[in-house]
Amino acid sequence: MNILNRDSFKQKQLKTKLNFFLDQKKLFEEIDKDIQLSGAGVIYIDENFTVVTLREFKPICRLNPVNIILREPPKHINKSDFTNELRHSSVNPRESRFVSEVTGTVFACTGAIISWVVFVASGLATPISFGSSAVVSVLSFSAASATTLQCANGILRSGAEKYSPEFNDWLDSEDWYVNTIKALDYISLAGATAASAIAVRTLKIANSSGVSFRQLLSSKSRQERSRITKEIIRLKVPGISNKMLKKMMRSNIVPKRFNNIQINNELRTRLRDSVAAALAFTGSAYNGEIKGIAIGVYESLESEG
Amino acid sequence: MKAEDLPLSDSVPKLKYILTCAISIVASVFSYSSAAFLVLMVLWPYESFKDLTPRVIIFFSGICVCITLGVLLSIGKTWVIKIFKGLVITAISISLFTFFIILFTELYAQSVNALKLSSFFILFNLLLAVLFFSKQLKTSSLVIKRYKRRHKKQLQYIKEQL
Repeated sequence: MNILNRDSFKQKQLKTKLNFFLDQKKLFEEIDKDIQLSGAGVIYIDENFTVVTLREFKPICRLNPVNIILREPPKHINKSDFTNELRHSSVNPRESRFVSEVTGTVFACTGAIISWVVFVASGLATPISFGSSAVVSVLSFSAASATTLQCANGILRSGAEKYSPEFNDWLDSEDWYVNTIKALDYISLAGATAASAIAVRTLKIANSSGVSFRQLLSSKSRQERSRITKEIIRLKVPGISNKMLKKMMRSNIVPKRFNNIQINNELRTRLRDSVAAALAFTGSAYNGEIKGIAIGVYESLESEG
Repeated sequence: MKAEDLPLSDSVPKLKYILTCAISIVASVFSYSSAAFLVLMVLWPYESFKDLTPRVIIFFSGICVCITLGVLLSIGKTWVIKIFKGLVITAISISLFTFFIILFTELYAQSVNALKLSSFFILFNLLLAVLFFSKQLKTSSLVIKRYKRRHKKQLQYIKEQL
């Protein structure tokens, strides 16, 4: 069904076919005989995954909506395989846990790769940062190590989920393991937060120098580079006066302007850092500590009285 | 000479070299994890899960060694590649050994999932072996080593200027 609540051509075709082959009246009567299912909505899914609603839910015996889904076996799957698949998926909830573990592992390992890229790149970054690259290196090293350990933990858990699922249950019940994983999540998140803060600060510097996000990685003019250089120096030496800055520039204590390559290289490192941070965060959200955080939705209710 | 005149275009770290190094670090972690998992969980029998506590600690300690080796590789120590090569060969051998043990020993005849796991580890480790034995990895490590050396010189120059 589309957003305009109109049936598509396929849905119309399916409805016509069902009107012809299925005694809907009798079906609904049989469903309504059961008190638990009385008024239940009826949805039909055919072999091409076309979905039609045969009857909407009616709150006759219950307020919470209940729907009965009638599903044809998908094309190219025979009846017995389809039955096995459905039985397996309902009886074995472990399968979805395995998928969840593998997905978390993929996120963590991708995050680990990017974190290592950031770590190596920050070690080679141009002297634009006046030593702050050392701080970035320490942060990115901690984040990379924590994410790598999370990646290895994901591999261990995914393998165990396939080979001996009870092992994961036992691990989750062990305090030392839960605390270690929490610590790894927090380190990785601390790295992620710091990386994001640095990325935001870099973007702020660029904006204050009149460089938009789109222009960030493009070549910058001589004047723009000069402005960015001054901003960076002001950030590194807080409270420096214009006169002092000019003096330092004249005497070559600080460069007059960084070149495009220096600036772009630095910005790229920052951006990679934030991507790694986002991936580490997603990995944690999938498997780690963050999934315990609940999101509350508040609704104001008007009461008369 | 001024800071702007430094040949900085040479010191721009090329992503393809850095990425190769980063992938090889995570690949080494995977190789080690697969080998350690098979040895500690599948091949080495245990009475109860309590017996596995020291094994899990050994597993994570090994990862820390892999991380240290990764750091050494990222600062241009090319001999680390030889260790990674050895690691992937060991991982393939252990996976193959486990595969045949499961296939031909009655004791493990029921463990279909372990068979699937070991065959996946064999295939994936073979892929990783291609990376570890490629020339690209050695080139990347050497290029990073060169960048590090130049970067050090540039920093030294700037320190002198300040």
